[in-house]
Amino acid sequence: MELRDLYQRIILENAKKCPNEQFQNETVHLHNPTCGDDIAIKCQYDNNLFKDFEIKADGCIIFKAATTFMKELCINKTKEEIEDIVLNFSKFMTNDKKVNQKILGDAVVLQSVSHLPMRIKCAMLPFKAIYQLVNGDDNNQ
Amino acid sequence: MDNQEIRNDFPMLIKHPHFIYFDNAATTQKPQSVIDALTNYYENDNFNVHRSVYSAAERTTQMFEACREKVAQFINAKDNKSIIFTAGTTQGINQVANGYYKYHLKKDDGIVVSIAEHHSNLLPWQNIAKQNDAKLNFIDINDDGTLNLNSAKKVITDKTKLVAITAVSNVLGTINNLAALIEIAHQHNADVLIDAAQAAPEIKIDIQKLNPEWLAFSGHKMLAPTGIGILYGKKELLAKMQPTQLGGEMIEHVDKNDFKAKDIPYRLEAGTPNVEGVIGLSKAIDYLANIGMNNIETICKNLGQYLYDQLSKIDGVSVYGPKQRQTGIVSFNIDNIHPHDAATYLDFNHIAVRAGQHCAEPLTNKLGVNATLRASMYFYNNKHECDKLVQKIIEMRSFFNGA
Repeated sequence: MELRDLYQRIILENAKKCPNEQFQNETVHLHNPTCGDDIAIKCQYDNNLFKDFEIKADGCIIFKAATTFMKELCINKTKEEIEDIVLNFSKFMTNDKKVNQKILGDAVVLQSVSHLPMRIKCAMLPFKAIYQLVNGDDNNQ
Repeated sequence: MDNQEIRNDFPMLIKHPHFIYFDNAATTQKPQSVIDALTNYYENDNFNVHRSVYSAAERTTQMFEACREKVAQFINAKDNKSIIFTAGTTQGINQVANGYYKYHLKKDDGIVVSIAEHHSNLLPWQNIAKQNDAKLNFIDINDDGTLNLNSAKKVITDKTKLVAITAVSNVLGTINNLAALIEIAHQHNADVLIDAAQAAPEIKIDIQKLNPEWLAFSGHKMLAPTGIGILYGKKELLAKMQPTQLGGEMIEHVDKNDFKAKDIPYRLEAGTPNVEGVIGLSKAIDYLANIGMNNIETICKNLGQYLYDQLSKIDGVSVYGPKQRQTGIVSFNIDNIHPHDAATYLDFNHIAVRAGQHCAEPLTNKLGVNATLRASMYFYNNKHECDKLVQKIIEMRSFFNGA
């Protein structure tokens, strides 16, 4: 694997698009203590759909690109759809053959991350955050 | 000895000539003499210490106890009964917290640490402060990262029972002014614990001159195997310390309901110790003594200064800590490139540096950053490796920013 596979143009561009909004009362806040990647999310829950994501994210390129992809994939989806996306992304990161790549959209460009165990956590963090958010007690009424 | 002669003693450096290892603050490479000592131990001397009558085990016990004396000399401690073998700095500090201060701190007594402590010298004190209703206070650092002695004078009071401080910051590479700090602490009858994890590998420690109550360090950061460390304590304090581990080797006699513990140091070393670790540590100290701690300090300081100067010349690179470098530890950031991405770029170019918070989150917060890159050099590194790192950092900027 080459460095350019890990840092493709599309990944760099999506990292630049990573949302870093200022807001309060986040529902979920996750932090990677080894590198400092940090994400806070809140959203509206309406008609079984998770909408109007507000995201404050700061960290490395892999994490920021993954956050952009996560937002695009998960916005306006149901809890079950989001869980399916997170599960498949997790399988994708661990090179599980049973992964459904179709539902991962552009996030499949992160494939080379799966070859770097130290960086998988960077890509997974936004997906972990949304998973916790949709499974939180406050969001399912 | 020139650099190549030194490098020839380290199999890892010889077997991987294109690999630049700049993560020595995490752990150091081992010289052939330490590796051979471990092999020799397992081939010839693998017997338990302190409990067998046969002569082979007695020989191993003698080698083991000789290391206690060697460590005492290494840090110029008066008495080898002050030397406790531990698993490392973390265990040593926890042992002091849970075996001594847990029983000697009252409500509103004070513990003082600095804002630049490694988590190992912070979390045990947070915990004891909570348990004993004591107060935890912080000495600040100056803008250049050096310890602020005025701040120390303010926070250390007659209420303070312990000042726990690192000798060398594992992020900034600064050597704290321990002599001044210990004087302030002792004026208030406060004890001093020194975290020497980063200091013992690079600078000569003189217990009798410094006169701290406690000092802890790790073997693996100074050429020895992992899992062996040293806790130094003044004998009168060690005698009052409660063992945090109970079991074999630490007792005079045992009945059905109670036991009588041995004297120090054995009462604080329950169970079969890390004999191979002690034997490896002994050889590591021999190796360091042969190079000379003063030479090691000079080599590391010069490498730290050289890398600092080279990095400071690059636009968009911020280097943390003072301009005058004291050790081989240099932390920095590159504008618009997250340390994690920078470390991966360097990894692909066979350069090992650390990226993150280096187990010192309050300090990285104080520096106003999420994370930093850290190059930590030891006496076997050289300027050529520094130049290579600098060159790769320059290339990295066009890779990420020009893409």
